[in-house]
Amino acid sequence: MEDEEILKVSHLCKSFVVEKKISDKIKRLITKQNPESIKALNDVSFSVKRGEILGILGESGSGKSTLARVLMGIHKADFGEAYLLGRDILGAKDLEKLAVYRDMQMIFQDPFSSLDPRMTVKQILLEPLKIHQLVYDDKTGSLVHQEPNIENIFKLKNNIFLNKNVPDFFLKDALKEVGLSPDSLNKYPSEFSGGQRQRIGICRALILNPKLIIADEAVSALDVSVQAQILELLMELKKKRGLSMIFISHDVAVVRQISDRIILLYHGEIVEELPADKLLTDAKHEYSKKLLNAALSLREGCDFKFIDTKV
Amino acid sequence: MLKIENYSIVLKGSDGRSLPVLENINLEVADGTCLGIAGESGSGKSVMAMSIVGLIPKASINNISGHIFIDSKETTNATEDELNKIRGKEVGFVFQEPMTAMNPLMKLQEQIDEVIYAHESNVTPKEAKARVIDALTRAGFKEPEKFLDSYPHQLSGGMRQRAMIAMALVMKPNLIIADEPTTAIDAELQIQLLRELRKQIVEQHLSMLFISHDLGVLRSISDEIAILYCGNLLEKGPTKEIINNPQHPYTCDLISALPRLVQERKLPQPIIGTLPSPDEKLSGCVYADRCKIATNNCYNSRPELKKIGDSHFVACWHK
Repeated sequence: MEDEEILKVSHLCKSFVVEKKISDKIKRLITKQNPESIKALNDVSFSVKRGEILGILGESGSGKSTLARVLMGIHKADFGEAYLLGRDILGAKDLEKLAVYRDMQMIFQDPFSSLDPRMTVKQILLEPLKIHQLVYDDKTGSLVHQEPNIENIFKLKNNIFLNKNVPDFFLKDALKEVGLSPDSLNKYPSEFSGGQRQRIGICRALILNPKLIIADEAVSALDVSVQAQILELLMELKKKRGLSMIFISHDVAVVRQISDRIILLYHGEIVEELPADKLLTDAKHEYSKKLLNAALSLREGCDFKFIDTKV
Repeated sequence: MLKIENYSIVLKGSDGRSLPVLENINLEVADGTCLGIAGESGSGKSVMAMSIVGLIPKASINNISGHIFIDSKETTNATEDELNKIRGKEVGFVFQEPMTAMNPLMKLQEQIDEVIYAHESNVTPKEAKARVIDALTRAGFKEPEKFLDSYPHQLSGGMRQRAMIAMALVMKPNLIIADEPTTAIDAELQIQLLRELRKQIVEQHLSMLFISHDLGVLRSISDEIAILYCGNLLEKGPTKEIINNPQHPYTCDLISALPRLVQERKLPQPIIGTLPSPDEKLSGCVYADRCKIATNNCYNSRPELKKIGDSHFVACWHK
């Protein structure tokens, strides 16, 4: 099943209404005009195969974060369809939705604001399990789904659900997998460095054993040496777990190194789609060339430094 | 222009511990040149930038030794009044995060002319406006007149960053200290900003201290690069030498950690381990723990910066 499509997105559209003043809104309502809007995503279609890393490149404002947010259900799409393992993502409701998102998790950009400073690492890792109502099964040594029923939801509200049902060693193994020491379990996020926090975020995303990870600028806020560590970890996880990933970034060099296939977004539209190996040679669109040029001169030596007459 | 001599600073930790953040730094920025400082977070590069103009709160300093000179004026023992005359006027500062460095309630023009009025009280509004427009133009702002009445949230990220640069340029200082001014922005915008800054260095004969964790950025703007690690200088020299002929193992590791954009695909090589905390009181080389070629000697005594070529210095026992 190498080529199995794990995620299929078709004709996704999303626009945002821009109305700066309340008087504009009133005027529009009176005249019954359509609101002025910006198309953040315009007819975006793509798919992700099992075990593949799809890189999404674009500058700020190109709609790449909107795409992640629409897929994760943070924004509602105007039009279009998205299927994860054959299940409708965008139309899913309540329990169905919960089941879909168990297979699709997100890693965030900022390792500081994406972890609750008042929760210990243990609480951070238990939170997704609590929301998805998973318990540890002694016989199989894995997490199993507890059928949601009224009683369980009652327990969930009272915060006693699960805490006893997931043993520490399971969480410690999860921490080890992302390269953190098992005794981190009772520490708070403030006791970790930026790179370690990002590992906690990755661990939280992986604990549900998802099939697809969406990483939105997951390494952009990190120092280069730490950035390389996190990229290595993501590659390792991809190989070990057969994980698929949507890797979103504005950094051409990083996206090219980690992805199998790359999509370029420009003003909410896909302008280029090609294998990562061919990015430097086969990119055709004007915008792709512009982006590549800028990245090349930044990464591989610059032409503009010697404006002075010395050289 | 800027001279740092045997500078060390020890800060107070939260529980009264003393943290030696910078140790024995010797640096010089000549007129009309740019010195790049490379280092990971926690290496002390921001503390260095702030101590040049005395921005470190007195209450958190345990001990300072050494001297910092700006245009042969010493800032290490200057009073707050004297420092205020230097800040903004002789030394311009560009901060990393324009959204937090700007006042959200002030219009673009007010943000920038505030700097003028802080130093000169008898400037007419007309003259101030002209100087603001001039500074914005020099920072590469297109049609600045249109945006003078805009608030920071109405400007795009690139415009805000340019406004920050304009704020630093408006008093025509001789020295600019830029602390990660282009981090986390798109490559194309980064290049434009670097180009603008480079133009100022060359045309206005400006000196610059440019701080970044990204050697790729430093290569494109600086004449010289100094590598800072855990409060110690490990290597310094001309940009070309540092990039093409790095001598310190840390510099080599930093370069291989950079994501490359060449035909051959290879993941950047991470540096194993983490930066030691400043209160660990290492007696040996600060990089020994993560170094691939460390020997016993490296753990026991600390190497000094020694000259190995034309203005190329390195602190390593193996060189």
